[in-house]
Amino acid sequence: MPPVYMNDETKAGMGVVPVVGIGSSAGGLEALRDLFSAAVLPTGLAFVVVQHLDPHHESMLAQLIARHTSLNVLQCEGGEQIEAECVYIIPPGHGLAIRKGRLELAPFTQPRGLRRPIDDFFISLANDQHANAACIILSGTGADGTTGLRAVKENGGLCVVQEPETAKYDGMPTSAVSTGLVDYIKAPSEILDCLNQFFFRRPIGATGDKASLVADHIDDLCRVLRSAIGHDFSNYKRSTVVRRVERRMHVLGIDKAAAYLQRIKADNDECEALFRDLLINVTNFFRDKSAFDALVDKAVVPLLREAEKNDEEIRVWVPGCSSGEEAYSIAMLFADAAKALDLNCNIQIFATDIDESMLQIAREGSYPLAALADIPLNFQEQFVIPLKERFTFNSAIRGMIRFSAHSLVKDPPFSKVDLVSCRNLLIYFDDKLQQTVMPLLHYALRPGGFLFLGTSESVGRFEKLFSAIDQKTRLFERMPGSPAYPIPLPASNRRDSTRRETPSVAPPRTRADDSLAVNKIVDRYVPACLVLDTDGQIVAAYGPLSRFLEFPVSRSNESSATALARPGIKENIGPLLRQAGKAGRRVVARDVDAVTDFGTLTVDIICDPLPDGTLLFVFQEKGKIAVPVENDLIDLEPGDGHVEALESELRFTKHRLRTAIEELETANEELKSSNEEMMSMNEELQSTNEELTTVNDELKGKIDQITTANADLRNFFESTSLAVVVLDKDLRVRSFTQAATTLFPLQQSDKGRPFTDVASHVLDYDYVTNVRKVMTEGWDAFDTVPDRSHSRTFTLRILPYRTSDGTIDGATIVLNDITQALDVQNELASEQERLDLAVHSAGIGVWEFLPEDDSIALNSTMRDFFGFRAENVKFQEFLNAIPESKRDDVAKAIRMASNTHQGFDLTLKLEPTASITRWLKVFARPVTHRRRGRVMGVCIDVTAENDRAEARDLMLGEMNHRVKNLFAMIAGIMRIASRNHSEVPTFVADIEGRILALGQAHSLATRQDRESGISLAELLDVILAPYSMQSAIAIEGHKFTVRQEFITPLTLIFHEWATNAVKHGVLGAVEGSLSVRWDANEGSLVIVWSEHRTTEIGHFDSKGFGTVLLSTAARQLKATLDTEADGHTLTQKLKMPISVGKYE
Amino acid sequence: MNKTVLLVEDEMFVALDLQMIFEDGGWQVAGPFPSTQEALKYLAVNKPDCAVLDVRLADGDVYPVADALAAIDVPFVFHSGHADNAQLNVRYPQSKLCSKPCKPSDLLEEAHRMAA
Repeated sequence: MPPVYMNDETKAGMGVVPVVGIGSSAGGLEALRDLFSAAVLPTGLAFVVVQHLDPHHESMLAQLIARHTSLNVLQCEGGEQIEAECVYIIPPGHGLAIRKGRLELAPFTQPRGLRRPIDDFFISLANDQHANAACIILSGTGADGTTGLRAVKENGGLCVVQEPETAKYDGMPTSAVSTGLVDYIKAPSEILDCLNQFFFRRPIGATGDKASLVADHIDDLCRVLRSAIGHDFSNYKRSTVVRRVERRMHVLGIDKAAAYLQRIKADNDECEALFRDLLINVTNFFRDKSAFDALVDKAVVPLLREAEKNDEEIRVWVPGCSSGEEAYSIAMLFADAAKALDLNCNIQIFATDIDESMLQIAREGSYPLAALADIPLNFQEQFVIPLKERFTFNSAIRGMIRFSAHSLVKDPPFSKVDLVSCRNLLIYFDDKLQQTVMPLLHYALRPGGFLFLGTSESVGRFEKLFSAIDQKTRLFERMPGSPAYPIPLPASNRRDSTRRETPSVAPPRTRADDSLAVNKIVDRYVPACLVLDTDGQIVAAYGPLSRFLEFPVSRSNESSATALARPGIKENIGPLLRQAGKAGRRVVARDVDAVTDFGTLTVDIICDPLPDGTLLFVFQEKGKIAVPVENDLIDLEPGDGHVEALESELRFTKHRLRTAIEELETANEELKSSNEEMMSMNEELQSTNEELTTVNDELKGKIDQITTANADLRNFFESTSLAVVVLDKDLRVRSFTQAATTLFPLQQSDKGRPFTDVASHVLDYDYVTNVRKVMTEGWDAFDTVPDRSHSRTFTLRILPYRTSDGTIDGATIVLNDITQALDVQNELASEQERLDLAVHSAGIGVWEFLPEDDSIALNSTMRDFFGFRAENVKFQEFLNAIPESKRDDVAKAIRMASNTHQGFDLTLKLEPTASITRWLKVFARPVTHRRRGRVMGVCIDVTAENDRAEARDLMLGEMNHRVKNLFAMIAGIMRIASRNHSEVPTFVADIEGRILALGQAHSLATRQDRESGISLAELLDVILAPYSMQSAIAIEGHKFTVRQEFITPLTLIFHEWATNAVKHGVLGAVEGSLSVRWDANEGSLVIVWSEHRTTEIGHFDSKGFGTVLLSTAARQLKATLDTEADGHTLTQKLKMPISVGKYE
Repeated sequence: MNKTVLLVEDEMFVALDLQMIFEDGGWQVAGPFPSTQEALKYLAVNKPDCAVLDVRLADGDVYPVADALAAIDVPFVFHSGHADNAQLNVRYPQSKLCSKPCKPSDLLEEAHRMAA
């Protein structure tokens, strides 16, 4: 009954990925599919699938499962670190183990048919992951996984089994369920939910709180259990109990201890489940083999020898026997040792436990084949009877053991026991309970008896009661002497428990009287006694019985007194039994001659009915054994001839019977061994069958896939617009698409015809040569082929047709009508050309910002603008080429355009290079239809426009100035003229003349072709032109160009002179001639205006406005003005610096 | 004693007109000078009471003359078609600008005010 000691803290929920081992065999693929298709990411779990696979066949399991789940499915290659959301599949031909979260492949050590990869993996999983592990057993035959499941449970992991009804093969699930250790039994699709609930409903980080909560309720829980089950766990180790209760709570999804308490109060099944969990039994055959070896040497052999010497039976007590492995182990030890020593001893093993269901298993004595490995080979040969999938023990062993429900704590102990084997039980008791149990064991053992404890147990402070024989093996000897203190036998006030007690097969008879004396008497001094039931079966035996009973080895399970009794006794037992039973009183058979091996013995047999219906037989010896004399036979023959004859016949018959029986037994042994052989063959066949089933499942899946692929292919062939023709290596048509029929006269019946027969009526192409070339060279051929009318164009590809192993077995011809694409392409190209031309001739810079690599692409114009050579420059490099004042603006604008998809316009002034200051206008628009984030823009050189605009502004200002000046001048002229005129007409004429003269001067000065001034001759021509008809005008002088600014004063002077000449002189009414001459003289230019009049020059008005004007104009020219009138000649002389103009 | 007004103006009719206007108004007229050179030459040895300055002259802007006047605390008014009012205001905040063409009376008034 030892409950499992959880030797590790519960790890799940601490961020460690729980590892789920899944064992499956025949029919497992379907279950695995159902299981994994229910996966919802993230599961937080890692899965390892151990499937029985054919070691010589590549497994497709990973692909088949991957298709049905969103988890990542991998075939294990060894060395993988377990990760969440992954499914690791065992590869064929290998075992799998997990160590420190890493998967390891292991070669099989067992021959095929005996391999148990699921058990092996589960055991390594349990030892590596402890409470962080879960195991799932799915469909399959046999019992692989059952032992592993036990290990997982033992280490605190979760055990889930596929509901046997849903499994294709229910062997493995049923075997797992029969252990009674399974937490959940579910359909495959529900298992993941279950795991999720178990692992992730644990309150993370709050374990401490909850633990204390559970601990607070332990007493209540124990009380409920005690009243429901009848067993008190309150003195069991607290920490273990708390862990076990927590585990049950996880399984049920209950968070609060109080809620759980309510649950077990109301739910009897849960009580049972908790009870079972608290008693989780980890036991196997010969647990700690070395300890058992020591036990043989130090206890078993001495006990056997002693028993033989004293002709006593050996009494062994195994409290907490659980499912019986320990008891069977000890039974085998004794049987083997007895055989080896050739001793014939009566050995009685009392195996007790409180868990009736475990006892049931123990009584059945049938264990999964996996456990066979724990039993040494020679024991197997002697005692084990293998059955299909399970094994049991022969009757010799089974007959030695009595299993019964008995509580070490609660029930009175056995007594006069030679050996108590109490392994791994005490560790679950707390100190108080241990101190109670130790004296009990002391009491139970006879002085010199042996106490055999588990490796981690000790006698504690009871060293005075037990002395160690072998400390390492934990083998102790009971010290002589009576217990010096009261044995605190637990009160049996809980006897009225609600729990149904199954009557034990043979409740060991305990002596009510504890007195040693009585024991001694019974043991040593009473005559041989037997207690028989009414059928003559032996219930109990006392005293030296060997004289009256014989124990044939071959029929050791025989407990019928009639059968066992020696001749003489045998005949009397039946009548005594019947008579005493009928009468209900003592009946005696006197002077019965018992035939022993050593002679006859006269004995009285008293049969005394006991109150419980059994009958006590007492053999009272009347004398010594009479050794039979050799010639007795002859002597007695005449006296009792008939009987003797009958007896001798009987003996002869018996002898023959014995021989026959021996022969039969031999035959039986032979049969057994051939049965064993059959079993192993069967096992092998079964695993082969499982492997075949798996392969079959895989194949089915593959066929489904191929069917789908085939349908896809057919649809593709019918729907594609590509003309595809597949040829075999003899250039025969293998298949073709619907589109190919428009180019080739192909019909379905043409498959298999040589391709040359159906040469295209559309295309001129040498298929044969080219296809052969492709097939020999193995390279694709590509060509563009026009049709015969040149109205359509096709691309033609010939590809080698490769089979899956890479050899070329034909060719595929693919034709694609690209006429339209070509047209579009050509159109596009010409558009592109036009665009390029336009962009180039317009001097437009085009750029594109590429955010992917943070660069900017520039066309040639752009590169010229900014002085780059590369077509693509980094954005920062580009920015560096932009004048600093605008750099940030540009960067920001482009980034903004890239991010917000809005364009921008801006004007840039570049750094002056080679005396030109360039102005660029930049337009940018985001590229929206694809590749968002790109910005495309153009730059136009607007330097000329800018310059013109600047010039225009300048001109406008100048014009404005001049116009204002003009107004001021005209105002001035008017004011000046008004001083000399009293009459309006002359005033107007005066002003008009001057304004016109100024206008003439202005038009001369501003004529486009004059930049550096106007020639003096031309100026005079213009001024004097109106009068040229009236008189002879001579103009003479070297070419002299008057500078712009001096044109106006000079014009005014000439105008004044001309006006005067019109009014008073030769240009008016007066006859004469006019000559104007100029000459340069010592840095001065002298202009001489001479009028030669036919009449005398009269009054000469030297005052008036004209004079003022002349003098002012002269001052502007820095000139001196002389007027001389000499008879007929009027001479005006203007002398000004030569700098007024340019003399040539 | 009549007050002296310095006239700097390169447009001869305007200069003549201004001269007449100021003489009619009882001013002693210095100039009119058509260039800064001549005006500066005059100022080197004379100090008028006030001045009327055209801005653009044959030999450049009138600023040297304005600066010279400012240096000897002679108030002046700009008489110009040149529109760059702002620049003048910044450079010579004390001086008014009479935009050409303007009423002669305005100029006279300003001259009186300045010379007062």
